[in-house]
Amino acid sequence: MGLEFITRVIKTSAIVSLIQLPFVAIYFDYRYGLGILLGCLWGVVNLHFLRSVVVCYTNLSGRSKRQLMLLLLLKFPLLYLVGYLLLKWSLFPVLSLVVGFTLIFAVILLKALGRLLLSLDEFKTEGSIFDRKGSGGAS
Amino acid sequence: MHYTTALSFALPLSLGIAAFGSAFGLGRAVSAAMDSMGRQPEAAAKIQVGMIIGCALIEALTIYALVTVFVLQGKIG
Repeated sequence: MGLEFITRVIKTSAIVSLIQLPFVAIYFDYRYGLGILLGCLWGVVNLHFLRSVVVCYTNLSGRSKRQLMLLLLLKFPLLYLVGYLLLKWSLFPVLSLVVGFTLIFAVILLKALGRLLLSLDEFKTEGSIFDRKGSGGAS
Repeated sequence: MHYTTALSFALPLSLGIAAFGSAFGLGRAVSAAMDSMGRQPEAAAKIQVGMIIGCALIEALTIYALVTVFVLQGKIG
């Protein structure tokens, strides 16, 4: 589970938020659908910038101060200003924005659970309850 | 005391407490992750993923507090 996990989470969240848009718009209210979409896009952009900042900062070989400053400037003032304006203008219901923002965490949880249950990676450490060969769960 | 007065005192205080807790948690998480990456550079990618997801979750708590304050702010006349 490397950084591609976060890329997949970002892609999946964006796709899920796009899929829900017509259904929520038709069966409930288009403003709720758009609010969920915008909340999810905000969360996706937030996670993307967070990953970029961490990778740029911990990349010791090619650390660029200018790139790091640009990322920090984009993430902290601009992204939070957009979130503030989304809440302040009240074009979309606050609940829909919160649901959209939470969607990305639901995707992270479900993806991690899926990997855990399908035994896809290193969640099984030796001696843990998920380790069938070890002594952890079989005693 | 009217409830709007109590709200106008409680909202900034609660947001400050949430921000303090989030900053404290982020500082501890990033510090521990950097320490681990320094000890085990070969596991840096895995530690980075855990740290990024943890940072996102900690940030989300503050954002939920901010949204709650925004919602309740409308009740103050």
